[in-house]
Amino acid sequence: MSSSEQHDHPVHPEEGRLGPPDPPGWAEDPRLARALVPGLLVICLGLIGADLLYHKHGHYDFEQWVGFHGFYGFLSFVFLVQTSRVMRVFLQRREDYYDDSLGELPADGEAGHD
Amino acid sequence: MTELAAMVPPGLLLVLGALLVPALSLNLRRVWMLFLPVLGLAQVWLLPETASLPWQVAGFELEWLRVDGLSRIFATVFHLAALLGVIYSLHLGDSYRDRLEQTAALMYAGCAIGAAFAGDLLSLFVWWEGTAVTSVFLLWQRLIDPWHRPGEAAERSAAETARVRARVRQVGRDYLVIQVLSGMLLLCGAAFVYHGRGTLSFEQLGLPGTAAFDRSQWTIETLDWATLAGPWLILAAFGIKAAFPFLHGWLRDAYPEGTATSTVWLSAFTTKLAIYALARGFAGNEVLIPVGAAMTAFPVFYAVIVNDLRRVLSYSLNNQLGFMIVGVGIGTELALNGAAAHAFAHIIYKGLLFMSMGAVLHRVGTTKASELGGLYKRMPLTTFFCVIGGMAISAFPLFSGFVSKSMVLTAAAEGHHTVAFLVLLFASAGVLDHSGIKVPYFAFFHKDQGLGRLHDVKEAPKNMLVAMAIAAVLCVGLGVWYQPLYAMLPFQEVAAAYHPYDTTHVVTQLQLLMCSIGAFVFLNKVGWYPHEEPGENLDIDWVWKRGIPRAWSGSARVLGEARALLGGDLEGARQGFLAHLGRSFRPPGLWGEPWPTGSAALWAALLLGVVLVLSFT
Repeated sequence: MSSSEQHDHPVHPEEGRLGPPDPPGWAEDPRLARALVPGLLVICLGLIGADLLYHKHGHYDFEQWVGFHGFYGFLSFVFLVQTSRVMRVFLQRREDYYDDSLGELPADGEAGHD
Repeated sequence: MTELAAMVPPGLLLVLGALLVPALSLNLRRVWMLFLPVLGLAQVWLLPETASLPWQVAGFELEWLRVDGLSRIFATVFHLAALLGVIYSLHLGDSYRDRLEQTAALMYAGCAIGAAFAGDLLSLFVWWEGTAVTSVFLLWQRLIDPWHRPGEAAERSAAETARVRARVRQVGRDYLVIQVLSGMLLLCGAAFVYHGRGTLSFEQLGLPGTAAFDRSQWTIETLDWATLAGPWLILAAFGIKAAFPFLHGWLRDAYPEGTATSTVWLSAFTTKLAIYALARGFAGNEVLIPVGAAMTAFPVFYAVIVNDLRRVLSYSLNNQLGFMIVGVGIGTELALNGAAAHAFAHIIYKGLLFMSMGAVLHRVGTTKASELGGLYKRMPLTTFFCVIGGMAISAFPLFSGFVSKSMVLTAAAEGHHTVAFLVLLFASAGVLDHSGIKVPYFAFFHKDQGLGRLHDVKEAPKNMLVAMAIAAVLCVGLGVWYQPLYAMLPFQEVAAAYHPYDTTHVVTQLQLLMCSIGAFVFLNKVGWYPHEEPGENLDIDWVWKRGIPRAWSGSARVLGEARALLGGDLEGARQGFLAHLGRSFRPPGLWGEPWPTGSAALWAALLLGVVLVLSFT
């Protein structure tokens, strides 16, 4: 997705100003990407498993379920992002949506000073 | 020394000191600006709790100086924020824009500090309006040069510059109107409270009509509507600055429009001053619990889809305020400690996040997620500091957010506010998404869009790095060595008995965060994570940018149509009415005749006589 696909007039200050990318760095190492999913799985399952090893206290019964916070976090995150995607359908407008409320804009920019 | 410290209200040092700033030469100015917050901080800690600085105006007994744990912890962090802000903006030069920013910023900080010590509602009002009037110049200074990257102005067309200027002018105007409105509500509320209580002293104000209302505070015999309205008006005033839901439009609108440096200042003071005022005036008003919980939740949805990363941080700021307001609403000693501690930690890590985005803005010229990416190679230290800030706001163990936020969550659970507790947990996962992942990821690690090479982006200026490093050290330091922070909290016994690092807290918090990161990776793998794309997202500011203007022009058009339909009849009736009035009031009529001065004096004397007679009988 690039910004130039959406706007064909200069509403977008950076339009057409994006240059070539830098050469890849350590974060783009494919080994990192390969290790990410298994690594996270091990950490998450390990943390959930850790609940069995100590006496868990909490003010609510549900807090004492094994892995409650992990599952709650995962589901919250998925719910949040998916709801936002739906919201975007209704709430997103063009970037210059409010620009016409700025009044007459001079082409030469001389009226910028008050 | 203590007498010396109690001679002027804290904050006034910064306000008066700022007046010198435009006159000093560059290097002298830098030294002076570093000196002022240090001096102010020393003053705050030298002040004894008995210090007092009464003043009188129009027969009101007022108090500039009320020193206690709550005012001291907020004043301390305000000074720290000012010092960080000064260091972060040391690279600013001699231009008018830069001097205007430095002067306004120091005065703004001074007003917020002064407000934290105001002992009565009228003194509070003075400082309160001070923060509004000074801070708007942190936005309007961009009218001088609206671009962020040095030298960018030369690359831009005059039309582009004019458009940005027009937007900045409008945003600043809206901001000022809303902030001053908050002050006006505070003043009205103060008048009503005085009417009901016979004092302007700024103490707890239980909201009439709720369980927190305490009749014994009110000296008035029968409660009338004015008495009842007072605390609600003051709550509305505080609610505007604290960005309550539906009153938050100014925050998401204005903060992303500051310069790289001025948004760092803006992020620290206004909203946290409101949190202080709420803790001082409305602790334990349970109506604040749902308000705060809603505030933690709704901005995170926006933060997912908004493109400008400084706007993401503004929504994130709004969400963090919610945690503090829930703490204030619960009102137990633990909860109030939590609100104060969270405000302290928050000012630093939020400042750090805004600083890292400011550095990006200074080097690249934009903070739009859709255009950034890959900058970690060019700005490794800024990246590192941003990640530290992200971990602190996400409340990872060993970071400052963990030792402060957990107090609010514990207090919510202890008070059996189950819904609020679950919403706060949800919001904690949300914070991780927008500030912990989205901001660092899309600015620094996402696919490189090429702006780095185009603008030959380098690491942030040294002074910015120093400020970010100090803030990062504080983010970790307060998390590991939290005792000094706890020792500043308003309720000492409760603070001393609270231990953030027990196995349950640490493990459950790590579970929440790591599984949320897992969810982020999962959503990306299946393609359910939304792309960053340019756009405007409608929020409450639509009401005054579009809704009201549309309704206004619409009703004006309808009236115009109606008048055109009635046409001659209406005009004829109007003319007839005027002619009828004219018969009496135009010159030939009785009231239109010019009267001689003597008869006017006679009538006046007669009238006075009637009044005299009436008042004696």
